[in-house]
Amino acid sequence: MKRILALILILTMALALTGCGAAATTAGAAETQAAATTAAAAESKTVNIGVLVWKFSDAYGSTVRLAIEKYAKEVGDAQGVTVNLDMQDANDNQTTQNDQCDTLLAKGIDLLIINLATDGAAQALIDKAAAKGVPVLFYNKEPTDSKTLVPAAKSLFIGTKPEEAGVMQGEIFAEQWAANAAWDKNGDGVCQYLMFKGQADNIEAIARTKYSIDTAVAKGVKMELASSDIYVCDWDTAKAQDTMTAAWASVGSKVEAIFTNNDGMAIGVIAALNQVSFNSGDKAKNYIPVYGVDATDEAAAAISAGKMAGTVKQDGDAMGKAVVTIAVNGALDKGWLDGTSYEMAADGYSVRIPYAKIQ
Amino acid sequence: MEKKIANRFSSEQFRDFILNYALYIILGAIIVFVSVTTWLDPTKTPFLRVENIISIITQASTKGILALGCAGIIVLAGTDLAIGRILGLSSVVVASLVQAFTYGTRYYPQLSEMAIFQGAGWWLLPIIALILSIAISVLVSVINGFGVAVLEMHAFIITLGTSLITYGVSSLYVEGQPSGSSMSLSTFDQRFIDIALFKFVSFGPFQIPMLVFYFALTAFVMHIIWTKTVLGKNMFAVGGNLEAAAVSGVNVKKTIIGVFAMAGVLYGIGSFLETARIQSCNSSTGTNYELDAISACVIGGVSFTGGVGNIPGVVVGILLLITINFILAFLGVNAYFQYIIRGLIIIIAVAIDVRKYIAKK
Repeated sequence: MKRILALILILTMALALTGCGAAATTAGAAETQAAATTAAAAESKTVNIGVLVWKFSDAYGSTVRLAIEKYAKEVGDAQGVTVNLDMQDANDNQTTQNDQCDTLLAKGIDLLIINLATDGAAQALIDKAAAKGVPVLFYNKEPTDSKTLVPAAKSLFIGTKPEEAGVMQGEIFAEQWAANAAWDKNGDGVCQYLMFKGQADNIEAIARTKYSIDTAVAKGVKMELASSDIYVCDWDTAKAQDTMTAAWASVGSKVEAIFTNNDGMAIGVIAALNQVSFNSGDKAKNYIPVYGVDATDEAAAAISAGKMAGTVKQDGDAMGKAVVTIAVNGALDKGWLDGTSYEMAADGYSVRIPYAKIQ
Repeated sequence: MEKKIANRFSSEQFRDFILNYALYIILGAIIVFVSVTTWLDPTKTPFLRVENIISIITQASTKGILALGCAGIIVLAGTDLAIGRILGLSSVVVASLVQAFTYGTRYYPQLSEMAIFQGAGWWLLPIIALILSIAISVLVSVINGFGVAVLEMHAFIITLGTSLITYGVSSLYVEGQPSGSSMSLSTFDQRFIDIALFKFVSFGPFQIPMLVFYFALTAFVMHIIWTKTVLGKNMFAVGGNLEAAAVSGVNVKKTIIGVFAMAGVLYGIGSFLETARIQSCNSSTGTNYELDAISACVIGGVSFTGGVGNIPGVVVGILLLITINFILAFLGVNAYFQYIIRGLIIIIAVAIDVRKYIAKK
């Protein structure tokens, strides 16, 4: 009995492994074929690009990752080269990412694209790449002290302006607040709000938290935090929901607007509000405006259902396209922005992809 | 008067009493303190109100069901690190099946065109989802049980392994959606959400959602299984002393796999309900849920050394844990302090648990 069970287990595992292997081979075959076609079309050379991704399963990050893969062929064709991507998932662990960097460099790559797991860990990766003479390109997560660090490494950072999402959130809110006098429930002319921050130490989270409120104030809305402190919910839907339920019990009757650093938390907040018969779709009664960032499909659905007030779109597709376009330039030893429509930001070391308002 | 009591309770009994109930006393004191201070301060909303108690029990329900499953494994002197990832995989599968037909970017757009799921036929979808949720959870959990019972691996190792595998599978599943991104699966049919959140009893302004009912029912059934069935009795025998149990004729392997399978059923139910409660799932759903479930068992007096524990204890454990979480958010305590407080509670709970064990020996 024991042997039979063990055999079944081993067989299952073997099958699973061959299954994965087969899938990988198919993908590999497709790539080889694509490579062969291009090679036949023009005597092109192959550009090997390593990509260190902080976390494959991150929703916004995955749209960028898909776009990088999607545009790799297009960009390669335009430059007359075959682009080979080698993507690694650090799963939000910097140690893993450093190891993956070693592996990629050992394999031999022409350029390294880095989406940092930890903002402060850039220097170690830059040094590793520099030792092998491999240029690096950063995107999405801006390295700490990027102003000096990125130019010193002759690198470039492709990102968004961290404050822009907050500014746009604040603008959407200020405009809507002015148009809806009934939102000031206690009629004191001050907006009592709640803030759901993504992470305590993340540049984007800090900027979104600060600039959403600063912008609202600059637009003439008096703002007051309804709770004793802002809430930090790790970008997480379930955590935001549980926190909102408790916050509702504590200060719910005062709250007139809710700001969140991402749509995931906004959706959690709305689920908690639904539990107390708020934000069920009728904006005329029992409604508190909730704002997010990302413009995920679920947020778009919530906005059109009248459950959510607005969000700010971070354009993953445009970001991915920019990353791969600029990376191929770098790998071919051209100027980062040669022959592209991208412009260097005023800071001199970065390209910023704009956000867009969705309401 | 004081002398009389002192006479009646010997110092040893008093010590035992303090040891047995120390954690409850500390947590009770916190709750009383928060209730009184918020009640006395006119600028604050009082904490002790019926709707808050209902909110706490509702939040505790799904994690409570997970804890009830995991408690059996801890009684076997094991542990289960895979709970969160099992929930993650089951919940994304459930989520993919119950998305509203009107939602543009749903996982299975073709479902809305199939005649069988129209009208009342829609109810087949949550039923399929529940069955799949339980099947997935039982499968992973039985593999864990097989590892512990037959391959004689420590539960820590085998569940660590399966949690990684399950996470990989659920990440692949999430990316299998038409857009190919890792976007959360959300925007469910309201009827599905109502399965968990419909207010089935309402007296006056107070309404109790269905979740609480499922939790109570599950706890009751588990209490019967633990105390009245052969599996329950064998579980305590194996957990208390494996060799003795084997000698006295208990089928140890069958018992261990049985307890893991039972846990799997509860994880499946818990995942299904949690999906309806959180209403948005992605591959990070379920992260660290095992810590809440295990903490609840420990606070509720299920001993890590095995063979000791009861269902009412686990229920109290999860309620206390969620109450503390709720209070921390209610008071708006700084996020970093929240980690410190939760950590301290777990350490105190285990410290007391170990003292109890020594006292018994």
